[in-house]
Amino acid sequence: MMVATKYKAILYISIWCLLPVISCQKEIKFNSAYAPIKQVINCNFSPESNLYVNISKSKQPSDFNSIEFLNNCKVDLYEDGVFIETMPYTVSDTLSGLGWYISRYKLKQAKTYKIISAHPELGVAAAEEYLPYRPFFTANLFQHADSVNDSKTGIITITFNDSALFKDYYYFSVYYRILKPVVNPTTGDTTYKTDYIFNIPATSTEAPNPINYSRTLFSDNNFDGQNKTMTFTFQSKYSVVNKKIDLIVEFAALGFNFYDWTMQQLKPAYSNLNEGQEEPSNLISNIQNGYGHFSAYSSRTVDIKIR
Amino acid sequence: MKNACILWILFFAVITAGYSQNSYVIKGKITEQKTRELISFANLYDSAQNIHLVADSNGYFEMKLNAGTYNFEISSVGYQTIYKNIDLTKDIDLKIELRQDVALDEIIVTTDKINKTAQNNAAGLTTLSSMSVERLPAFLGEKDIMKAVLLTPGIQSGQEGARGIFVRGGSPDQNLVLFHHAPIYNVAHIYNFLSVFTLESVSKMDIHKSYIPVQFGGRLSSVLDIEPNFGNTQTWKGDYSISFITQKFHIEGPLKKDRTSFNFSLRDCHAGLFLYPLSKKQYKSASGNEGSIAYYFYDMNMAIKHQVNEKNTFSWSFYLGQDFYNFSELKVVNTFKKTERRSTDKRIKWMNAANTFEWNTKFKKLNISNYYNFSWYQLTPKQFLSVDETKFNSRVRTSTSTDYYTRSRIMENGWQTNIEHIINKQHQLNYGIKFSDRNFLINKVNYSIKDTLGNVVDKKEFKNPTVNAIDFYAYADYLFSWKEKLELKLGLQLFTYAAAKKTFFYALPRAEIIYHPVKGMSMRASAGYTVQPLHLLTNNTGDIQNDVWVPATKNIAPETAWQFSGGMQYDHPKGYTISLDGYYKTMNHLTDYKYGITYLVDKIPWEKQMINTGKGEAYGMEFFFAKTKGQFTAWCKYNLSWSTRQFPELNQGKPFFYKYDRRHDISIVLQYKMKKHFDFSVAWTYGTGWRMTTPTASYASDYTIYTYDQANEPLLGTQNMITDWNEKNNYVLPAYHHLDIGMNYTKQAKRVQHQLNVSVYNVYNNFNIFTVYQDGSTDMNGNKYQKYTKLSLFPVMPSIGYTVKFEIKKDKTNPQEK
Repeated sequence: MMVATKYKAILYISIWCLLPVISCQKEIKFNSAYAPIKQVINCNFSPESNLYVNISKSKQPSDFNSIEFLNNCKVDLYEDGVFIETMPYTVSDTLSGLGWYISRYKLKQAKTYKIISAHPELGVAAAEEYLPYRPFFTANLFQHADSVNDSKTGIITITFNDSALFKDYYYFSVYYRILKPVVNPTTGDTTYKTDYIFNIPATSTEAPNPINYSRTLFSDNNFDGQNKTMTFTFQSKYSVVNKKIDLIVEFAALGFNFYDWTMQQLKPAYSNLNEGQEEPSNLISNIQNGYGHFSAYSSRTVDIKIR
Repeated sequence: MKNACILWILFFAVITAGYSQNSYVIKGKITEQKTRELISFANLYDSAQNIHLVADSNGYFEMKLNAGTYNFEISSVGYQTIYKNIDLTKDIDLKIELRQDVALDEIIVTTDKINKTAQNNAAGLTTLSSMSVERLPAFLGEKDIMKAVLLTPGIQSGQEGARGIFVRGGSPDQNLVLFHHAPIYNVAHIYNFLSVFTLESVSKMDIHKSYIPVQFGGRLSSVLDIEPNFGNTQTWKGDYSISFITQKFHIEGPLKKDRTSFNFSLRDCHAGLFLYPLSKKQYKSASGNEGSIAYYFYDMNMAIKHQVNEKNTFSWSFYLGQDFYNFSELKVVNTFKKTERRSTDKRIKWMNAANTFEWNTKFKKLNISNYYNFSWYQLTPKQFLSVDETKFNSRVRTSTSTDYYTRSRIMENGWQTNIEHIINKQHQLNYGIKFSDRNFLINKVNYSIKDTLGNVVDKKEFKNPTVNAIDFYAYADYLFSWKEKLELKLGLQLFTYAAAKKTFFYALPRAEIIYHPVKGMSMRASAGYTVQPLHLLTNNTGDIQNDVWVPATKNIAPETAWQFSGGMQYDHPKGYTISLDGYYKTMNHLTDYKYGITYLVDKIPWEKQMINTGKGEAYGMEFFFAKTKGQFTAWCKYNLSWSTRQFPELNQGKPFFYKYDRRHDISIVLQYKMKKHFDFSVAWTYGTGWRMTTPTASYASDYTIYTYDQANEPLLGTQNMITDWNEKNNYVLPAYHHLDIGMNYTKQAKRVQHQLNVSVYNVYNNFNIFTVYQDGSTDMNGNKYQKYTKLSLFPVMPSIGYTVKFEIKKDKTNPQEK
């Protein structure tokens, strides 16, 4: 019995000595899960302007180096399938290498644009997007904050004609252009400077904006081909110190990828109820053999004088 | 003509003789030799005349046979086979006793139904007895029947520390675990390393995973039907054992000899006693803060059986188990202005209770079983946070404390009446009804904040309304046997489920066919449709506090599944068994958290946090080999499987591999009995690693470029980058495998048996992944980045356990019996 107790004691002591020295945590590397490096195309475009395309290299998640912008791609622009030009590269920041492929050609409404970017190592990436017409619309302001009640909710109605030919996507937004007083600290003189107040979320019963995004995105699911009137409410801003206040109402027709790309990025904010523990999800775009987006929008604005 | 007449006369004489041959009833009961406990489903087989009798669930059998001589082989799992010659010249009533297979010359794991030959094997049924686990290597000195379950074909553990079992591509909540017909909702202790079932409380376990008999319902993947140990009707015996983390006491015996027996066992876990000081020391050295972890649990089992007469038996069983997990941490932050003490105290408590009352009666050819069961499962995480702040300049001390207390609970009452009706040798019926009433408390949250003086300054309570759910099903099962060559089983379950003003109805057909081309060989196929009206919400963190059972409602439909399986098995008389099975399963209305949710959020109705649109597909094959006789025994299983899920809301609607899509799963168990006192065992388990979603690329967004433009200089690190994940569950983690060895030394004294068990878990110290988490780190250039760290729970773990068993035998006959 004594012998058994002795052996038992030795075993227990061994276990107690062994446990603390065995680490139960190790770093893990996911090398085999990494995707091949691809071109990253970032481009938003609208009518009557040049096409600006930024191309960079994707990275492995464990790569901590700066982004590598690509200046040696051959980027061809096509309009409705017809070759337009090869876009030249223009550096905007020599230190970082940030630059753009800029077209000499001004883009037009109701055309489909395509770019093909060929890189000597990363192969060919391509993207295509339809650039819609600028939408015509009327805007009627029913209510706005004023000097008496500076926190009154703004109410605005827009009317537009939706096309029956396409599936249409839109965004609506409002923002302010103001003449803001600036006091010169040395002379004490007051001058007025133009400034903007952005990020004014607007919402409508037909186009809810639960996360208060600065643009309210919606599609013509419920009014395809109709003459449509929509009422939006927004947190209106009024200040007597500003010399001039203009409310700018912006209404844009969107290419599908513009709508989809933005909505995908808003999705975590829409459903992220656990404060950041959302399930990982990919952004899907129209870039073939690459990442990023090639997105079109055509917007028109109406200025409403408030003060 | 004359000859023809003679021939006709002779022919008619023979025929008439054949018909006029006397028939007699052979009936009886089969009991265990020592305990006199009735043995269910024992087999009586006369190979010469190809006659096969199976005892009913109470150990009784009855059949009408022609007069003659019969040589029956009588067998049952865990008992030594005996042979009995019977000269049938009149009606006879037999009392057959089988001896427990104490020599353990056989591994008592069969992939067939009860008997060791393949004459009556059902598709996908595995039976385990508590004895089959005795010789397996122990974990921290404790042997566990659920560990043995994981070594059987088609069943796997998810990962180190995953709760529950995974059967044929299904999830853990798709398995119905019944302890004496009462469901147990959480069978795991210590991250599933031990189950709630002590060996002493279990008589045997049937695992149905292909053809799920129609008397069972409410789950998609499998049924684990555990029969409790009702104790010994002859002698008092018991045992006490102590291991590295647990101690157990068990006693059983006759309250009234031959009539009433009882069994009681109690187990407690004292791991907290050494875990607390050890974790305190490690926490201090690792983080510099005060902190500790403690963990305790207990299990209590009680079972009583009373045989009123040969026709009526009453039995009652009760189980209660509770787990306690405590984590505490104290962080002290000193700044120029103040000292801040932040303390966290987290206490998680979960409890299982099950209670069953059974009345079994015989009426003519009917064997009627009635069960009332009650089950309870409750999970209560509590969190206490306090901040104590002392400002140096004003000498003012303020403190606030927050109590956060949640509770979820499921309570079930059930009634079942099951009737076994043996019409004759060829036809058998099994029919009955089952009613269950469940009450769900999904998530009740109490929240309060106290000030320096301990006054409550804010108090809130949030509670999802409790949900009552009722399910009722009627069922019938018909078994047809033809010349011991063919068995056909057809079953139908009419399942009705009602909850929150919505009623669902399902007709659930099931079928099975078994063909025996030669003795010892069987070919089988089965198909079945199942429904599951409740779901377990869980997440990837491995934290039990996020496991919540919820009912199906009008917004969350019950899950359904079709399964088709087939296979063949051969049992060689010398004790070799080999089998190969394949299966294909489709699942509908699978449930998961919505995108962005990883645990139930307080202020939103729980149904709005779930998606119920999932589809699942699983298929694979299972290979099994066993050597069941001799000093050296062994078994080996190999599963090759695929399992996918598809939700329109997840992974862009594309199918993705299930987290536990384990392509290869292997278990090899070798056992060797050396001389009288020693036996050794080695078990090796291998499984493809579980899956997780990892980033595959990162790239610049518009915002990144905009920031570059603004900064006019290169930005370092992964600032404002978009992460690409390729697809959900895209990465297979390193394989899960460990080798365990064990040795038992047994010494028999006059009335006491000593047993010493020495075992080593994870002999070669493989780093099996429990969880992977992201952690901040800095590279050589000083850039901060996120690294992934894997955490393992159990490295090499040597353990020792000691058991003393005693038996009280009365040498003299009881005077009352004289």
